[in-house]
Amino acid sequence: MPVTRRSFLQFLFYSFTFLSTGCSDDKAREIEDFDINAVVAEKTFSSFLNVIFPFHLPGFRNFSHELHKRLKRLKKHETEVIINAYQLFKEKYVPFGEESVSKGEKILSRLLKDKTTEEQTNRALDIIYDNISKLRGFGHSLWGREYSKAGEMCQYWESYDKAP
Amino acid sequence: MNRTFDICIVGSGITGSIVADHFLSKGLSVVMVERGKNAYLPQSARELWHERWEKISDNPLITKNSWKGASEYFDDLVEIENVNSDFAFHYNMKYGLGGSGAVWSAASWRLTPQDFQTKSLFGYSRDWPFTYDDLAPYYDKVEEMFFTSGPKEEPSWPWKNNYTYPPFKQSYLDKVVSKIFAPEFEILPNAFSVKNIPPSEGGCIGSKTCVRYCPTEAVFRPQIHLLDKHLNNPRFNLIMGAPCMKINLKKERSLESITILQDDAKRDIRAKYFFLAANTIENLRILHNSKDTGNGPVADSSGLLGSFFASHGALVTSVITEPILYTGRGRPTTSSAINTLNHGERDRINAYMMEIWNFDWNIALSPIAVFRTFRAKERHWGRTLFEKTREADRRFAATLIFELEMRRDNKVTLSKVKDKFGLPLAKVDFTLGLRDKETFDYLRELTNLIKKKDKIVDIQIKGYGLNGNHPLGGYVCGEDPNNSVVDGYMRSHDHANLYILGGGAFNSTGALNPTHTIAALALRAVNDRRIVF
Repeated sequence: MPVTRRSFLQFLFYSFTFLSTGCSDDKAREIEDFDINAVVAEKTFSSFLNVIFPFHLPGFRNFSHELHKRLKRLKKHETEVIINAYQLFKEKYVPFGEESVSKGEKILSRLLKDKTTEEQTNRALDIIYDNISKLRGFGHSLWGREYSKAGEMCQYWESYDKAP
Repeated sequence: MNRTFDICIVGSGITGSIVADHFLSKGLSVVMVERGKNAYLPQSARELWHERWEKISDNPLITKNSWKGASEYFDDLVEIENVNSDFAFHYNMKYGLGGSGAVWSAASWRLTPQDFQTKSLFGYSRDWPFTYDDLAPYYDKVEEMFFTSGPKEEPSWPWKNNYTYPPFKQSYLDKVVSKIFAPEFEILPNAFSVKNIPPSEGGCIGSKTCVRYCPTEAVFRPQIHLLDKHLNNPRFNLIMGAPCMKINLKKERSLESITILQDDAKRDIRAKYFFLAANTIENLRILHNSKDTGNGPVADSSGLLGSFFASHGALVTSVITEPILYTGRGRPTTSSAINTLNHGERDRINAYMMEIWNFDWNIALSPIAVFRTFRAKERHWGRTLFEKTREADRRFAATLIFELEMRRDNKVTLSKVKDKFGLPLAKVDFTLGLRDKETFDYLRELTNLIKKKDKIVDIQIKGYGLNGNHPLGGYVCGEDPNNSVVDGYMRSHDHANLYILGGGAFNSTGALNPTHTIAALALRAVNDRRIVF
């Protein structure tokens, strides 16, 4: 993994924290294994998300950035699930130009078919899709138009007999 | 309590509310007993009723309510036991104020004239003891009462209605589908029990929630639209949370009282006339659970109580088209294929009708809900999940509702299983007849025909079975006391002061939502000239 400016600064921060406050082995392992900020910053993680949802398509690129923000705010047990699934993906993933997405799909498909990895991969996907569905304006982009909500007036009540 | 009321009504749904409204308007005393407490009401309406309830709670017949915990009654489903698992009857009714016999998506249909004479015209089910023309004036009143909107000058419309409000315009989706499905299916605007007037004046706002409730109350709700005006009437006595345990007879076999369970204590309520206006299954349960002088069930000298039970068959399909349909706009449904009702082959195939839904059943209206549903239910992911969600904008539900033959072998009796009040559950023994099976096969073939149509990408059968909202038959009507349970005014042949309302009195099911016919029958019953004071 290349040493980025961010990861170098994180290293300095944690080193200083450990030296000044002390830290158990377990705690050190937890931070090392489940640092969602570091994971989200990885280029491969973006590829992982592009396999999960086609954020690379026009109209969806900005949602990827927003999703990163949401994932960073998840609770610890949820980030653990995502990072575990991501690590499984990352072990097998090698970027290959334009075919990267389809290669990633094959890897994810295998993880979802393998009984030893199926459950945790699906749990991670559920959390990610739940967060994708909560992105502001995502529903609008899915259908390319506004949509009606329960208990509220139809968005197209005056013109529902015509194409929008 | 020794008081004798003029009218006792069991059930506060559409029929019970019609009966109460009729007799209260005539200055008579009415007691209405409701087993449940609340159902299908939005929070605002619950609070409103809570206040009104308090106003009349000094009446000794009124149970002190527990409205603040009313939400726990939302899932108070009517339980039944099915004998056969194939085409089992999964009953959807709930106990509660206003009943659960809602006008489904506000669809407001009459039976067709042929439906009243299926035996003599086509050789199946039973003829009714009156004709469509006899019931038509009551249909007119129901449509006025329910502020129904619908077409008047539509040449293909099988009825002559005088609707209060104009029809809703067909959605864009309906228009596209109409072109694709022609000429086999003539898709016309429906009639709806919804005020089609500007939203600012209390009309429909196109919310998809009209199946359960309406934010503007533009959809008919019996407790609001029929009972509200009587809530401060001292002659109106409403008892909630009180199941009817049994019926008690005098020696000459007329009804003397009903026994209810109120605050864990049994009490008798006496009246001159009794109207069983609970849901069909509950009515049958009460009758089966009550003993006549000969120790058989009440109202069963014909031996037919519970027999000729039926419902509607339903085949739910999901259709994907080439053109975008812009789904989920306007009302949930605005159109149906009317011409299939009288398809010309009824000597062989039961009547059926196709309803066009502007969204896919079980997959909700918004793209977010579609996205979540495809993930949760079908475990799609990646590009497939994305494409499936987009595809939903080119997809609609077409529901084929079909008539079922009313056969004596299909019946409702009592189960050995008891409910929380110690009352036996209803046991439903239903199987499809030969005609029904042929109709079902015919409709499945029909989906293949649709699949071959231009601009249809795919059609899939998503589900089929008995409609759990349409219990029909069980106390069939007729002139002959040996061959029917009630007469043409829904009065028991055996007990002169007992009227049994609801879908149980049907002699044929037709292929259309039964609520308007049930309401029309209730109006016919309360106008029986034999009811005198």
